[in-house]
Amino acid sequence: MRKAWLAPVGILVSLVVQLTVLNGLRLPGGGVPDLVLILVAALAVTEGPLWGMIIGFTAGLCLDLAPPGSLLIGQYALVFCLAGWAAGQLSRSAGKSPLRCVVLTGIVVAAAEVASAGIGLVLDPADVTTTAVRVVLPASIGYDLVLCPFVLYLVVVTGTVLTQGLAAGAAAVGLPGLASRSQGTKEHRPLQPRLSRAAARTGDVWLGGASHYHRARPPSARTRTRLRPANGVAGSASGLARQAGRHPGAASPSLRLAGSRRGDGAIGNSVGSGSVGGGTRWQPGRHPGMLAGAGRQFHPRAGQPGGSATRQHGAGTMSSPAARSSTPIRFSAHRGDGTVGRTLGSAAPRLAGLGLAGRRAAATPKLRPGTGRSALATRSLPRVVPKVQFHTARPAAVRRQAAAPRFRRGNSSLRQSGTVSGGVLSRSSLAAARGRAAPPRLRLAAGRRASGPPGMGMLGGSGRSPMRGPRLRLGKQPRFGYGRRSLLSFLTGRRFGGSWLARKRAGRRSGVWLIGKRTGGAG
Amino acid sequence: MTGAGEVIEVRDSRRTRVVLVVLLVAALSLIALDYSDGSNSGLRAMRSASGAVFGGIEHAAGSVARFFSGGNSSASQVTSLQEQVVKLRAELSGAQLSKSDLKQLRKLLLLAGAAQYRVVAASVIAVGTGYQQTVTIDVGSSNGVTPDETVLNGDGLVGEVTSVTATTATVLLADSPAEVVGAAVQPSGQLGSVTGPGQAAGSGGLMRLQMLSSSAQLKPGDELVTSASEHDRPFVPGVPIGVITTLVNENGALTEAAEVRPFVDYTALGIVAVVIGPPRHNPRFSALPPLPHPAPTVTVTVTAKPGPGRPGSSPAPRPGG
Repeated sequence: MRKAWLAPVGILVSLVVQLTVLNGLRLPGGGVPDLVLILVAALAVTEGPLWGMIIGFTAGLCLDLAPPGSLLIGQYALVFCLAGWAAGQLSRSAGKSPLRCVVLTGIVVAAAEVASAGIGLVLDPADVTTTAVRVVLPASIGYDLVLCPFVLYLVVVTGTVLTQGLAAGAAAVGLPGLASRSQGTKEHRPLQPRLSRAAARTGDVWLGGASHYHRARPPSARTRTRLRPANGVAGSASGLARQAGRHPGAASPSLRLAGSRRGDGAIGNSVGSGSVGGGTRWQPGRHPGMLAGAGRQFHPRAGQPGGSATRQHGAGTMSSPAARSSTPIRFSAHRGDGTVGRTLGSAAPRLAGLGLAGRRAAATPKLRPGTGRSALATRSLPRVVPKVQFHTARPAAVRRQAAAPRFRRGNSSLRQSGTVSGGVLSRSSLAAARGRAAPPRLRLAAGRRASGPPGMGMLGGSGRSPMRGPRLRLGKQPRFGYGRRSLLSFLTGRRFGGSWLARKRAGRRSGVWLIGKRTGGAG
Repeated sequence: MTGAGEVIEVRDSRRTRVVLVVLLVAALSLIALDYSDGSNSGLRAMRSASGAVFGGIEHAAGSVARFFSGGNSSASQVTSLQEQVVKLRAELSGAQLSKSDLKQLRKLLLLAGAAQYRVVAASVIAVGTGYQQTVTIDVGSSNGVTPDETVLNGDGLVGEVTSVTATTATVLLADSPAEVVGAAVQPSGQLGSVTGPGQAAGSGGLMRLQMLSSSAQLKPGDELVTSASEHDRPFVPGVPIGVITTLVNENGALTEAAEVRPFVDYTALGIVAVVIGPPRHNPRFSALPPLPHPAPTVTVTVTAKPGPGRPGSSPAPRPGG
């Protein structure tokens, strides 16, 4: 972990710079900035109070012991330890705003300067005089405050670079060229979108279990698949395949499952297969798995039982699934949906009905029922369309999922009553859903209920909820960088970017979080 | 330190508190130990060990900084200066001397030659943080430097050596409020003590002269040199200190006081020298900057005789040595 070196190396360098260069400067006003103190505060902001005070104590002790030091040993250790702790605590309460973070760090630094002067006055009255303090203290606090945002910015960017690679750091400082150039090396992986064309690789088997797979057409420039950083990681599809247990001889499909947004269910939409029978709810014009090949619009009927996708295939441009022909169907992502399956091998669809009861896969990725438009039904549940979403077991995601079921069209009264029009949720089922760790997401497709049979209580639909989250901006290209990131955006945390605290929250998944937010996902 | 670290931090505020208390207790006990017993062997060993480590780093950093700050160095001047060094019986270290270093060194040698000090030249490699009026110089006990020796530069008194490692020494600056320097006023030779203003000196703070005798007469423009200390420690006699700017008349004060502007700019110290051999005779005021500026040629200024135009040869009691 290269970031572990940031604190000791930074402290050592700043200590030497402080002692050899900064203290010898003759600045107007008489004081010099205390670089070590500022660095301690900045590191504490990024590392939290525990590491902040450990770093502060160590740095202060070094400053006490380094050669020109003539004060009592431990003075700076005491002050810097407190400063690191305070900066870590306050940065927690600073929330998302980097401006507030900078201000709080400045307050901590100023308070630490005052404290060190006070301790000096008490313990070393011979060395520290009130006249000197009166002259030097305001000047040095002023220089500290000037230096503070820059050091904080530098620490944050360096930490980003060390943990997430040069691309993220370059994106964080607003160097998109460098960011794009340096993408692709190994340490940049966590932020890279996982491509979903893995199903078309040689040796891959299709999830549906057709003995053949269909090679995807190369994407044309016009209808490029838009990719999103994968939520599921490599191997998540294979876990599903094992769980289905239908292809003992088959190799693990290297499906990369996208679908970071809730309700996207980014894989299953393209799967209709014989063994893992699937009924996909197609939303005309909305579905990520929409056919986008030669200008034909793929309009599967939503809510139709029995695997409407396959039926549509049969009625439309594709050959009948029963015939097991290998017509390649390219599913392009649409409107910012990152989809997986570009090919559809479809065979013997299962009649898929409506249901909430899904299977939670024992293995990661979790098979969570009830969300998204995608559907994968196992044979054991013939009349059930479990909504499948792939998740990695990440704490952030789990925390986010802990809410009550969301209704696509509804308000709090709906939630209270536990029933929705369409009669999907009864009170008991709502309670049961609440009791579960991963409750099913009910999305009543408000605008699209006409397309499905009323009373079906259609699951799926668009993955976004109108109750929260920004609306899907149609036609908006999803963005895969962090966008413009400048010092201004760093300071304000406004639309210039400035989501480094969000990154702190979501950890490495913040790319997903950001993009989901940008593109109007429900996350 | 992102994923698991954050989780731990969020969860363990109790552990944070425990560690905070532990660290605070450690810091306070260190302070208490150092405060109660200054000669504590453990702490002293700690300090000297860290001095060896950080001193080495500062040594390297200081030489790098000087290399970059110096500008073009003239090799011929350096060699000619080496001859002067030999001539003045001063031991010089430092191969790369920048122009400013050269100037400082020349002034230093002039001063040392005028007062017949035996000096070791050094450069300042680190400056104390906060309110500490200390610097680190790049000579140590391996160069013959011992504690309580006088440090000067070409302008005058810099301070005294307080502690020494093998390669570095810590100098307490003369403008520290903790430093009390015995001073002799130039024409009369009367004695007083000078204390520094601390770090306020960088912003125009002045040193303060307090005369010992109530009969002393001061006037602005009088210059001060160090008076001799016992066994020439910590201060050798004759090092210029500063010039009196204003007289301070305090009601009820028994003796006169004055504000003194030091010759040395304590915020811009470069080349200094440690006096490792005191002069055989008290140089008295010979090291003071001459009023009519002579041409700085070697042949003129190297002579150890007192300057002819200086009226400071009145028979004052010669203190010390």
